[in-house]
Amino acid sequence: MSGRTSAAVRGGSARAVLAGLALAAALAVCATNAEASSCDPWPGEPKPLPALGDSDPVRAEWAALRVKELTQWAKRAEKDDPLRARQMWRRLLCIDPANGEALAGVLRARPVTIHRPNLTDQPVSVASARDPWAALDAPIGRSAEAGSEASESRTRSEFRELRAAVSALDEKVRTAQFEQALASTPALRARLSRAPAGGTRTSLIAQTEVLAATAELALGRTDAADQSFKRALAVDPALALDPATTAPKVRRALAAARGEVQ
Amino acid sequence: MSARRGFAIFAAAAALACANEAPPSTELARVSVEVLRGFSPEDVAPRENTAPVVLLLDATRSMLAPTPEGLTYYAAAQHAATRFANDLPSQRAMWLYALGSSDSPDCQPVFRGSRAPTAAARGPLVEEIASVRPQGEGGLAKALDTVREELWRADALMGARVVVFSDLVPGCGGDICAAATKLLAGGARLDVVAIGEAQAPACLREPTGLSESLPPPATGDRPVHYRLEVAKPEPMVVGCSEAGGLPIAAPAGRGAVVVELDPPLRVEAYFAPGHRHVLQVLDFPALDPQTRHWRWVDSRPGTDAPGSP
Repeated sequence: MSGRTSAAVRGGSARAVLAGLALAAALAVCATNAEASSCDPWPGEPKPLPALGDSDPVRAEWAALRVKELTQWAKRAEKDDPLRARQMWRRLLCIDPANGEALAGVLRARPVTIHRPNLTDQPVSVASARDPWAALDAPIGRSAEAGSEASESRTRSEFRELRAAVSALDEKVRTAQFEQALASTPALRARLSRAPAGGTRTSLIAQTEVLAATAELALGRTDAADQSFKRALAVDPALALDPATTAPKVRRALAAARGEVQ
Repeated sequence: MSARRGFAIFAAAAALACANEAPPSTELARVSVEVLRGFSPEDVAPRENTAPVVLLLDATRSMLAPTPEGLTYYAAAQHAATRFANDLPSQRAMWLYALGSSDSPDCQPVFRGSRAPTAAARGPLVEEIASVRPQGEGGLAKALDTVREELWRADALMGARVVVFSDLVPGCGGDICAAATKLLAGGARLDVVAIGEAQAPACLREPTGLSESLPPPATGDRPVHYRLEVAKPEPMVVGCSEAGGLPIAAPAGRGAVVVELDPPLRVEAYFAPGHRHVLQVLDFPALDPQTRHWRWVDSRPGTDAPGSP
């Protein structure tokens, strides 16, 4: 091994050791935070909160099952609800303070995300990202906005018209003109299919299909409504309807189309 | 009839049956039940999140500085915000706020912009992003506080996601870490799109930098009832009580305890005169796999009888 290679390896090892120390320090801070945070029983939990090594075998078994339960909930919540995931990992540390998976989970499930997009003078593709949250880190290009002013203006104008058409469809559904709403849907679908690809088009397609499904449900056409919801979910798998403004029947039908209800 | 409704009727019938008097007996046992529960499936079911996504656009004067790439920080922020507003395909509402967009020379409060209830209605909001111009000053911490208060007043703080587009150049003071902590404590998330080279505060960068304290998840903490049945001399309900509450006096002999869990737990046992029998139940219906264990604890040593369904 040459001296340079050896030095590089030593440097790499040193970096690895430093990284390990940093992680250990962070975990220690985490554990301390967990201990310092309130470990009082939540509603429905035994008082005092059992620990894994509880002298009472029933309480110890409850603690073991609770650890499994909290782990499952935390893992499920990590992507969409990291705050809840962190809470579950921290709770787990109340029951099992040495749990390495929970310590790592607290570090992984971050409620604050810093995005730092690179700025570039090169054109940046405007293709729609599959995950717009991850795309907050995507480079921002100067040319993308200045290079095709005319084209962007046309696109804006086209979407303005499409939004107006979707709003008109919304108005028809709100005023119970269900047949008229459904009569105008195929043409709107065709226009949307020709619109420039991107999040706006996706949003408008999802909105159109939800409105069509609502009209179809109102007319008792449940199979057609199911197909409309499936088209909406195909473009927007995370589609959610506001419970405050959406009839339970419509929300149930969406859940059924998603396969959540048998 | 739904299973839940059936269960409710069953529970009501059982409660009526509890009007029976305990049979006269001089040789009684005492029977009680302790239940230690996990979450219910309803507790852990994912909830649809319709809380808004809030865009907070920093339009303070420092954003007008040119970047080496030739555009201003503000143009970059504007571009990122527009791209995001166009790309987010969810039906979630989107609210826009701008900081520093008025021409007052003093530190300004954050300006409340358009609110789009659905993705299809985001047109005016996208156009407003394009029309905002940096002119004044304002503090990000105070802006975050205002956004949090407005979300809270609209009962939309829990699950909201606040996206800040900023160069993170401090202006007009304020404690951004405290503002972020309060935001997280209300159940919102924070994304900071940092334009330029300025470092984000350590409290936001470090995974343990903020001590968020979300309230415990809402759980159905209803009491669990149980009843004691005997078959002889005739089938009857001897008594009812609550898990963790008073024991039921039981005639000596064979009997069954029915614990009103979902589904109910029925455990048969022999009740010895003068003895205290405690049925200890661990019920974790939301665990995968669903888990329920029980065991009897008798006052006489050596009679513990663990079991599971």
